[in-house]
Amino acid sequence: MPASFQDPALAGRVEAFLKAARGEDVQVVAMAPLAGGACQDMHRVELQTSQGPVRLVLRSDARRSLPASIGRREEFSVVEAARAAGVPTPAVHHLSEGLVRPGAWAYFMDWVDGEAIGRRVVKAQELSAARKRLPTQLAQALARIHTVTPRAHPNLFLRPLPERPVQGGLAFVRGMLEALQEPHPELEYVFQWLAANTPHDAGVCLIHGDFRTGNFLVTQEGLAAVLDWEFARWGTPAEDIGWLCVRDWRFGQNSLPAGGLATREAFLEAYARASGTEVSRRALHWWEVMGNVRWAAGSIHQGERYLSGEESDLEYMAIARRAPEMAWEALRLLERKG
Amino acid sequence: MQERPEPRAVLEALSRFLLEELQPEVTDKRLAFRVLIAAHLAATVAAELQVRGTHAEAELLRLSALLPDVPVSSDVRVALRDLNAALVERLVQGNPPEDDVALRAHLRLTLADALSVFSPRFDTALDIEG
Repeated sequence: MPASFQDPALAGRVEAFLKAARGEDVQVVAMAPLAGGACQDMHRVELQTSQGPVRLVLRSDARRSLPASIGRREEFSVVEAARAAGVPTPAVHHLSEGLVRPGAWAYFMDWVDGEAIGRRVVKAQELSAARKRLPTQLAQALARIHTVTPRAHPNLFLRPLPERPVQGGLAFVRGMLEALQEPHPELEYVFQWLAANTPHDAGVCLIHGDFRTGNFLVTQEGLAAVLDWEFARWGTPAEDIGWLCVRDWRFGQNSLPAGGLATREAFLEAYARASGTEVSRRALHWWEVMGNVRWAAGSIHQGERYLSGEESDLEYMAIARRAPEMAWEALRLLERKG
Repeated sequence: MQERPEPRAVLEALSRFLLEELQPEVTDKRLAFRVLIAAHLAATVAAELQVRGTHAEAELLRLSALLPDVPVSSDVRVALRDLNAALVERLVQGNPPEDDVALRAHLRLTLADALSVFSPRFDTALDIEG
């Protein structure tokens, strides 16, 4: 074991664990933390095995979580269900408890190469051919995610099944608004519009919950893998498509609302072709407005996490200062009336 | 009390130092990104100090017109907080100000003022999708 590991004790535990789990002699030759999200710790793990070099990601529960996020134990089952449904997402292995920290669940996943940085995905010259394929590929991936149903997977989540995703979404955002530390009439105004204009609820299915540019890997061939399932839940298809259309995920490509990659109409058509299900323009509009309010309130809460001392990353303060962008967009969408 | 250099000038100097002197020397990509964020935050707070009073007065005038029955404190910050809290309460109770056009215009103007400081490059046109 090289002495240069940032956390030699963890690398030692990982090596011993993988020897037992894989039933072969493996050596951890490199291990380094990866930039993760708010709810998980991630490490890149380089192995030498009898079959040659193997690169994995170790994904563990973080010390803290967000209210809407699931733990790694649930996430492991969600990814397995998604892969079984044909979603391109890295294979997961060896779920266990306590490997990284006592009480924390963790698993390994295959390393997949690709670009995830949003502004590069929507603008990089070398990905221009990929961008032509992405809307169809993303619609297909979403359609496959949405084939996973509560009936076929009754125990996928620990939380109870929402009878109406629209009402569940409203209740969640209501809770976010109630927890704000100062009055935000602009968000309350849009919330009242949402409550008065609810769309017809479609069937309940698995949704990714954070399906957006920045959360999938892209190569010159197009979509390589869907990532980051920590906000997966039971929901409705329009919820995922509405979130993809939230302005912040366009990275400046405002004429292409679906993730900076396609018009709403083109994406809805691609989704209908892939799924055989029509998502109405009205439902998409409602969930897009909802997504902007949710992200505006979420941004403010990120700043509160810094102010409370829970987080020390300056980026949380910067995100909170951007909340007016999402609030503006929500109000703009009301003017646009879909 | 000494006023020069003013707080705004100090923050502008801090932002310039971070951006022009420190950031080019930082080799760690994640740290360099945080230095950029710090420089941006310092610059936007400097800009905010310059216009904060004007924006607050304008917001107060609009809110007072929308909510003429709400008592207004002589302290602008307290008055704004009270008026905004009253507006939220009325929206929650289903009793919003009668003039919805004026209410929306007020909300947009308040956000536009914030965006002009926090996110000066944000496009506030209504038709951004072409």
